[in-house]
Amino acid sequence: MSFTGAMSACAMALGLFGFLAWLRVRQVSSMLKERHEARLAERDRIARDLHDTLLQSTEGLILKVYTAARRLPLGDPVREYLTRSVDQAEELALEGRQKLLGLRQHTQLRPELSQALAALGLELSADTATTFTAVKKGRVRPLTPATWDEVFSIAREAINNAFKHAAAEHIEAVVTYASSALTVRICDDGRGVPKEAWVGRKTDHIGLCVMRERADELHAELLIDTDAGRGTTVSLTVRTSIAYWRRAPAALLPSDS
Amino acid sequence: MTSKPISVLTVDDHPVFREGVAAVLSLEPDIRIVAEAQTAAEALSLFRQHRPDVVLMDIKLPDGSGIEATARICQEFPGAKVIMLTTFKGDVQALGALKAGAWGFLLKNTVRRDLAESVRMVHRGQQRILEEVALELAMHAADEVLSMREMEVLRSVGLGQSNKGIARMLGITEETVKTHVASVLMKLKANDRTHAVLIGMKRGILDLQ
Repeated sequence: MSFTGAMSACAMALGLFGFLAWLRVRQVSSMLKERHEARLAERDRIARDLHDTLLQSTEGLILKVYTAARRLPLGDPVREYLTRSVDQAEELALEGRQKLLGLRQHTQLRPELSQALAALGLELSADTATTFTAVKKGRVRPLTPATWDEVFSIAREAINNAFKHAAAEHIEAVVTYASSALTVRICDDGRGVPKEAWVGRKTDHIGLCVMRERADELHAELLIDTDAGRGTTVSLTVRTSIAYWRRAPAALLPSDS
Repeated sequence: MTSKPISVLTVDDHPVFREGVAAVLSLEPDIRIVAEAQTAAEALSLFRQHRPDVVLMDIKLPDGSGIEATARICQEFPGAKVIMLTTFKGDVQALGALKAGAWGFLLKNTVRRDLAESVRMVHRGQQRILEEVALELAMHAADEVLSMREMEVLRSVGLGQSNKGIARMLGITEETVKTHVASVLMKLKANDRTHAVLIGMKRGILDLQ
């Protein structure tokens, strides 16, 4: 075989390899999309269901207990006890309703990610001394719904952990829209997790497991960097072919760009 | 009290909720539940049969909306007094209920405090609208109302449709869709499409119940 012949065979092989790789990526991302959409529909159905059945019935149950309490004489300690319990039940029902509403709004709207994280941080920092900022880098690109949801959930878990356990002064979320990948980094200047504790805890806590599972779902890389006194940084990298939506419907384009 | 108790028809497809309402009203000697309906159709036929003084109507029923059921009852019996019960305080839904002929609009989680008194007020011929709902109504009283087409467009935007997709679905041109979207943004005082959808959900233009 001549030199040029070998070269062209090589080029063909490379081309074929490239094509196969491309095909595989498309396959993975379309599979991901289908699975995700099915899951969203399911989540929506459950939220609707819970609202329509469980919450309405709970409201009825509250009325029944309230009535029973009202039938007891004024000043009866049992009456007071039941009345207080009814108030608590009412608060729980309200909280449940708001959560369900939030669930559906999130799955239906998906604002630009750093904005969504900023809103979350604002909410969590309300009663604490910890400050929170969310930063956006690069030109905003529309994310696929699967990416948005999984990334938001992972970031939320990381931010929640930082607020709850880190005793941090400052927590920062950085969303970077690069052409090579989407990266989200959550860092805090808190007490961090000592190496020993880290290594010893094989099964981790559930939150971390779920974060890993979600990251795997996106074929994404999740890194957690922490040590005693050094704070914690959680970074998540999702590759371009999975993260970005090449042709997003206009309604889903980020609103700030 | 010597006068006849106020007769009430409850319409709700959740049996436990109906039981709760019945329990609360059982504390009131001057109010009596005469019938319970689970669907809009049943509500109409039970109304014909019992002619209750007051109807307590869930806004969402398995065979249609409580607003439509109210409109049908009020068309056939112009003196009917319906109180709408809902879990959601968007002004657009409240307005719809009042336009259909409802005399009251209550939230399900305030039934405990407000129901009995509301039944009496409406029975006397006074309208009863919760302050928080009244406030929502007042805030948007001067707003321009969305047309049916604009609501359809907003609903499609909420479902993630592009202008092109909406145009195809509604059988109009993309230009017309753009005009509708612009008009929706203006009427709702929204900054962009996402904001418009959020406002639509909050005000009960889009169904999020």
